[in-house]
Amino acid sequence: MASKVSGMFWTWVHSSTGPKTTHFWAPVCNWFFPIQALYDWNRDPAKISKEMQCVLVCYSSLFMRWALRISPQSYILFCMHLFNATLQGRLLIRRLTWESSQQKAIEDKPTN
Amino acid sequence: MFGIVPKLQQYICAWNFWPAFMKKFMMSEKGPFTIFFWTPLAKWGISIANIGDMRKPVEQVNTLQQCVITLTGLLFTRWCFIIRPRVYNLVLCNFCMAQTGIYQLYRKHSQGKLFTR
Repeated sequence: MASKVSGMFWTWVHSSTGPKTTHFWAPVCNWFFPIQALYDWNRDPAKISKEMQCVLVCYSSLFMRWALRISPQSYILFCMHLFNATLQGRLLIRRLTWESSQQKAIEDKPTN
Repeated sequence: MFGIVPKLQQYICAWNFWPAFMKKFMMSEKGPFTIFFWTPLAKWGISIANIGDMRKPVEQVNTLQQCVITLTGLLFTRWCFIIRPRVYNLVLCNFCMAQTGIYQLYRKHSQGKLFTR
């Protein structure tokens, strides 16, 4: 049993879509997008780029649909883009909320 | 999902003033009524947003995000060369993504703020 599993593992390692090829690492590095958004969970809203967050949300939303329309469908890619759209959207909302509170603070400031 | 887009496609393509090449493009399986048309544009949007962010102060540039954009751009440039068919638009798109990411990281590094959050 152990040798069978080991055989399957090494077959995968040496395969044309295994970890020795770009076919493996390119989708893996795509997962760094949601991981980055998790790492920046408490990022200072003044340091969040609104435009980049908007673009990343749109990018992931479109690619969610793309992952289900390609053949074969890729549910892993769909999940990755779902997480990314949600987490980058959270950062976008964080920034927009902060901008709104800044605007309100300026408006509420008593004028002499 | 609700069949709205195919209905919209049929409605718009039924207009008489479209030239033949335009109708063929709109009805094609990679045309503007399919997701395959809009996804490369979304990827170009990342490069365009990065170019726009070059005017902003470096404190607003997210080092980790730019590292991910650079790495994704480089790996997908290579990936686009090994898949079939080759789509050179996607090669250029991913290459530009990587270049803008590298430049943003250089901007941060030149001001000594590469590792500041």
